[in-house]
Amino acid sequence: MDVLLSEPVQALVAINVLLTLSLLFPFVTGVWSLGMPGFMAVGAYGSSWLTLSMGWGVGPALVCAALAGAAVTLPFALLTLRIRDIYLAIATLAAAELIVLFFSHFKPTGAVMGLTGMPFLETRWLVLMAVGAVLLSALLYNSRLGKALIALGTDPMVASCHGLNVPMLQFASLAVGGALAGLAGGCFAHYYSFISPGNFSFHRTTDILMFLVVGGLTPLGSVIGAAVLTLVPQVITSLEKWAPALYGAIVLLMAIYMPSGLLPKNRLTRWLRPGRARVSPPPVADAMRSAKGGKALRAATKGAHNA
Amino acid sequence: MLTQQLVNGLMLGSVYALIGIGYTLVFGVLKMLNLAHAYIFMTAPFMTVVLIGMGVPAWLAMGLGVVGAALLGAVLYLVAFRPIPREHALGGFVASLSFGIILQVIVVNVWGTLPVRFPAVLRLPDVTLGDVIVSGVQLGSLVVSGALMVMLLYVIRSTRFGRNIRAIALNPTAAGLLGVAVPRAVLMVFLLSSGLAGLAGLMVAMRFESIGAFMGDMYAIKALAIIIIGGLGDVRGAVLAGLLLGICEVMFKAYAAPGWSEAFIWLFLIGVFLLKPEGIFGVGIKTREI
Repeated sequence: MDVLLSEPVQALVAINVLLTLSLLFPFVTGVWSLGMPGFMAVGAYGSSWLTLSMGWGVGPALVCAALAGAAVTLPFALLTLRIRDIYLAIATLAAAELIVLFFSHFKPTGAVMGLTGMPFLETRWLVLMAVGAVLLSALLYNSRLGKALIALGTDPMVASCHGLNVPMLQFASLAVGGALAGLAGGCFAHYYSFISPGNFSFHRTTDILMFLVVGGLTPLGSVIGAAVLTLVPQVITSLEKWAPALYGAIVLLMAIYMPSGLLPKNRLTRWLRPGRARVSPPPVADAMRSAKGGKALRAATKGAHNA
Repeated sequence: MLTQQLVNGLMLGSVYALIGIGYTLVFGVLKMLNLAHAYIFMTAPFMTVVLIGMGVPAWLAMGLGVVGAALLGAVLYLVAFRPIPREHALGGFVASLSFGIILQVIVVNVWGTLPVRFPAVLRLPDVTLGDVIVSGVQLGSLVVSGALMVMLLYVIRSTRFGRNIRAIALNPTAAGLLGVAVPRAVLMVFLLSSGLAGLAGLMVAMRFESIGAFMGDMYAIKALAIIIIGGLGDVRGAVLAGLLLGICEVMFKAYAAPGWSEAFIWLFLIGVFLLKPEGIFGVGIKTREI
């Protein structure tokens, strides 16, 4: 229990929760965007620049970090108009690498040496922001917009036939994800007071992806996934060296035995609004069974598994 | 100078091509990305180092390293691809990634994160052609990988096994109904692709005489770019795109901005996505329907 009270651990969990939520919304919508480290880098460098060079307070700088994170998703969103599925994942990965590469050559932000000296942000603010983000995402997830996003992730064709504006909704989900990643990046910069391009590598995406797979594609699921997997190596400190392998094993087992994650249904909002959330939205992994996007994939793998 | 750079580019490109072939073969039959590929690439030289340390002759140790990588590929398929429910949208992606991370953590815990010296096992004489100096190892790797690629293209094109995996790539159910032993063919593809990754890893290890747990990471992401540029599932495309990118990267490093050679790859990739999403030599992927 001491672990839960230590501030670095709380901060780590808060940042990871924000990042997991930022990956959740595009994924729920069926936009497999792996551009998260890029958005995070933009938020981190943006808020650092505002506080260091412009003399802004941390609060407004974080707001701007979130906005910058959302704004930088626009070119990514334009990619979604052309490609999807695994191709989109690779394209967004490349675009994120480009952003990080830019920062590792951009002299004013210290290039590969990184940037330091950002004003410190206390842990309780991070935790507060994470909690707020969780509540807001839970509300968003169960709102009309959230339902539209889930419908889109389930079957874009049907969603489009029901009058949903598919490109706009995809843009919106990417923007929400980008804003959360930007905010997380800002928090990261102000908590650790040091950022370098190495902080925004592909490995960050893979970690967060694992949190999401373990937790399930719902706001509460992402919180649980992020919190549990972040805490496991902290609680069992003797396992610290083997922590990534432990993650790997957990994710492998989860993918085989609980493909929808720990919490595929959104229990948090049922508790928040008991009257309205009686019909839970379908977990996306189950819904993918009928989704168009996964059809070719399933057809292709069916034989390999069954024959 | 230009010729020298061209040789260096071909060398890098053949490593890219070998990794890319493995990636693209697996994607062809399963329509899933095998993210453990680059980690298997990294384990082969480590296995070789262990074997050499045990007193196994270098040639044999390297051969066994490739075989070990191939067997790891088979384990990967049985552990991280076969049991995953096929409706799991992210299944193969995260499962193979997890498998790769487990391999990496094992290597890190045994050897640490610092580069390990790879013994210069093969002493081949340098070859001088005019003003171009090619080290024996480099030339050997080029010959071996060139021969392998030609052979593979022949196998994919004209043998029964090649026809089987092309049939699976088109439609696994129909292929199974027509008598293709699908699981066995898929297992063979994993053996083949991981063996190629292991060979590429050994080539890189011999070239730089230093190996590390993270040596595969950069190749992994670049190989993703290569299989897209070549057209997903297209072996010939992967070979050509790998060689092309290798040469471009070396030229870019030598004559343009050195630090930005990666940016070039990413921009090239996004350009291919936007202008010719089926890959430059490719057979075509679908763009979105709505």
